[in-house]
Amino acid sequence: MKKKLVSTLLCVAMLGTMIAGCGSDGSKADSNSSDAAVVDESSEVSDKLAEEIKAQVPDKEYSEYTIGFCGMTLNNEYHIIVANSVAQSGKALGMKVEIQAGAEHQSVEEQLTIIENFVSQGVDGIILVPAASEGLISALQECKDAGIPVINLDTKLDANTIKTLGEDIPFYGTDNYVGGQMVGEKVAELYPDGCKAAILRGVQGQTNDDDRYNGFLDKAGDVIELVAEQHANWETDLGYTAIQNIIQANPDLQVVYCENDLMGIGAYQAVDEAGLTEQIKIFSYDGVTEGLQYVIDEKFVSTCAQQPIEMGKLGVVNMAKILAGEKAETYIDTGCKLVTIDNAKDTLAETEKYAEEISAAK
Amino acid sequence: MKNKYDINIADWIIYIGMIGIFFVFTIICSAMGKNFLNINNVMNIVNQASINAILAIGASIVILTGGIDLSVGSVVGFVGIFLAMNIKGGMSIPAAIILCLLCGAVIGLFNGVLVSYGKVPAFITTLGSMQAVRGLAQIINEGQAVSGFPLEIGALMKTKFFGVVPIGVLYVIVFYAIMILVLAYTKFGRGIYALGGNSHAARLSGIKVKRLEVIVYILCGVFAAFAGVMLLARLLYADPSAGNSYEMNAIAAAVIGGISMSGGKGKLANTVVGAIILATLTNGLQIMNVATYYQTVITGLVVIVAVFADKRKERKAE
Repeated sequence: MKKKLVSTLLCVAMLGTMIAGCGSDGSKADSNSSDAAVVDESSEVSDKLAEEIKAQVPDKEYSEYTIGFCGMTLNNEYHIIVANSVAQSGKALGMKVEIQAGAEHQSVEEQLTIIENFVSQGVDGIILVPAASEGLISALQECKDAGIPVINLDTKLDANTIKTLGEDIPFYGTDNYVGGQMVGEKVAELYPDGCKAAILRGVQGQTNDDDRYNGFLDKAGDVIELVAEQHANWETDLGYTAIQNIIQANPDLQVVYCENDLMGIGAYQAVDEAGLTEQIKIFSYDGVTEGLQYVIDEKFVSTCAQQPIEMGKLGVVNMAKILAGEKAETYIDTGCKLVTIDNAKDTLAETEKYAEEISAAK
Repeated sequence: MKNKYDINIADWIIYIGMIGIFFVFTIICSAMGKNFLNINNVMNIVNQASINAILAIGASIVILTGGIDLSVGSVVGFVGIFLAMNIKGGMSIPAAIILCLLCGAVIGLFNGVLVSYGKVPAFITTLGSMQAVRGLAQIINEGQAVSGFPLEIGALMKTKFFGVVPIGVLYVIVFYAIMILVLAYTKFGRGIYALGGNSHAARLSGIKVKRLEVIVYILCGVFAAFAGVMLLARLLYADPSAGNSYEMNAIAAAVIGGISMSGGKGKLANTVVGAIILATLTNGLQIMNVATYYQTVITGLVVIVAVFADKRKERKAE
């Protein structure tokens, strides 16, 4: 009896895995080519990208160099794009690029380990998107001691960390404060007589969160009545619950500002379920594919698009300059733009074009 | 006489606690001019608790056998991506859901066989599968979120009965009713308590302990998979990191409900109260607009207080 049961269960298990295998194969073929997938090491680089990158760096043989990329996480589109851009740009120069990232948006300790491993492997340079603006000081100190150059992308290390380290780390990324101001201006423009607003914030302690928040309030602070703010840690499900509860407390809510698109998607679902899509308008941030689609569908009034591909390219180009003994740019604002219904389609097309450029050449 | 009175208190303490929390929130919120206690918000709370409540059924029965399942949060994330990809690829929604439940069963089978036949401690087994399944969730769509699938699946979470009762509430009622009856009136149910109470005695009394343990983990996996379906239907967006740390919320709900971590003791009916208490805290504190990090502190303290109150009987006995 027991044996029979076990064998039945095993059969079911095997069957299940077989069906599961087929299922995922079938839908994978269907998956959108514009989606940025994590490129694997063996993939080729498009000629166009190779030319573009080579034109910007000193003439030199880079194939002996290995650079480490330590990303914030590889579980959302935005960060995958940054990682792919670094990987492909590096390979355009013949460099070896090692891609590692934390499991979550706030995995600082994992990043510490990743950087320490890079140092002990003896990589020639590290490109970093920090999971927290502080807390990586000991790892950065190790890099400094080992003479390994570090370039900071996307999320800026905080001023105190840089000061303690006593060394300037180049930063290329969006000025999130300016991005926040753009959203704030838009809200102020649409609601000149004021409105009741709520803000969904990211992970507390990241400069991105503070900058997007303060920038927004700088332009919209005098106009809106801020009735609620919650940290939904950049996550869709937490954004959903928070907005549901905020609507319960403030049935007359008019505006929700979400500091990233994932929380915005959750917020929209909550607003939609409450049947309040006419009354409550959502302003988002990030400009991931789904976020742009939400703007096109008029589920978001706007989102704020950044330039993750540009950041990755700049990181590699400037790392190459450092390795060739030249000086790297210390700060580049890669810029951001407000995406509304007017330019959402163009932006989406542009994003897809770029995504193609950095995805593996077929 | 006094003794009898004590036992009564212990049996009802969780309900007293829940009413107490509702009472406190009602007073504070109305003082702030916010609406807390009305039918809409009560439904809101149960609906928000529903996914955790379903996960907590699995957590409860596993803990009752003296085990633990840490993999359920990852199963939620995996199922969301897998389901979204399949229906995007043209599979019919019912077939895709059944496939997902089967995946949950397979993961549960894997856990259960390792724990019962393989003698690997449940904590280690499911810690491992938690990581492995999370990895699979990232792999199947190369780390990407999935969207652009048929939105009809939303009906599984967004349907409302009589205009007020969300369908999530119905799932909770149905699944809890079934499992409470199973635990109380079937040989399988009594076996779970016997196994958690004293596995040696359970084996001697003729219960097929290993088989029973495997089935419990399979059930836990299936409930986790169903919770994954619910989450996808709610958010209409599949993110490979979804369901992160849900296993802890499920265990917290079971523990607040008085399920003993050492196994064999506790009532499943109280687990749903535990889940509702957790959801009520988030709901009430967010309505009061309390900063997020205080919410975490308060929730943590409530778990400890609940277990402390629950142990009153044992302290008295000593």
